[in-house]
Amino acid sequence: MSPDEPVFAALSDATRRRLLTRLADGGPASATQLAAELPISRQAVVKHLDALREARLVTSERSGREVRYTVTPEPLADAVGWIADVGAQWDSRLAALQAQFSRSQTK
Amino acid sequence: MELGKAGTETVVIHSVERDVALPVEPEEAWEAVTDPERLGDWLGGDVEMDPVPGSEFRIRFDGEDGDEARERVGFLEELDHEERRLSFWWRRPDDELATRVQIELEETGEGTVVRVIETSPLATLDLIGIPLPAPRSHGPLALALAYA
Repeated sequence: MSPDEPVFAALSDATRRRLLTRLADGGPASATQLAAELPISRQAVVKHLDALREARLVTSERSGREVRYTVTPEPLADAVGWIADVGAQWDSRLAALQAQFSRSQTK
Repeated sequence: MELGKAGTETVVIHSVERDVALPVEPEEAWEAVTDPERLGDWLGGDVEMDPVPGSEFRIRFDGEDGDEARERVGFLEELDHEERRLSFWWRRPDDELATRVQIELEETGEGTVVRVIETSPLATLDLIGIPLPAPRSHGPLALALAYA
């Protein structure tokens, strides 16, 4: 068995990919938060997060009364980095686009 | 980030989606998106572009940070004035692969939403139905990262 095997097994499930996508795109979140945002029960979210954690794709950290999950820099670092960079670039460009209109407009 | 299928293997592909709500009619928002000078103003660079699908363009960024203080070259794939949808491919001159950017407008009660979707090369190939390259012995994740 290759050392990457747990990673592929974890990624083979659509719900787990969706959770990863959400964590990569929207930042760290708790299971309760994820269950509220996605059409998945909290119980199922916890189960899938466990699988992702075993594959070392996410890490968990206790924060007050909740446990927050974060995408692990490795092995998804490149993908997550790309998303963060490109996302930040569009955030600033779209803010500039919005500014074009607020300059010429009185609210 | 999305994940797609290459044959029976799973590969990591990704896209970024952002939008902004503008307090103006779609016509006005469309002009800000398609007029080279106004486009350059909010992209943060100098846009040399013929607003004709299939034509090539060049953007020189004035940016302060190292990453943006460069140029991008690309070509305009689609410019649909009726649907108010624009798509192009762009890359830095030393990048091998381009990414695809789609900009679309949506009229809302209060104004217009401008939505941008940028997809990585792998995701783009998958979207337009070109079969993804078969993963080699390194496995799908290594393949995906090689493309990231």
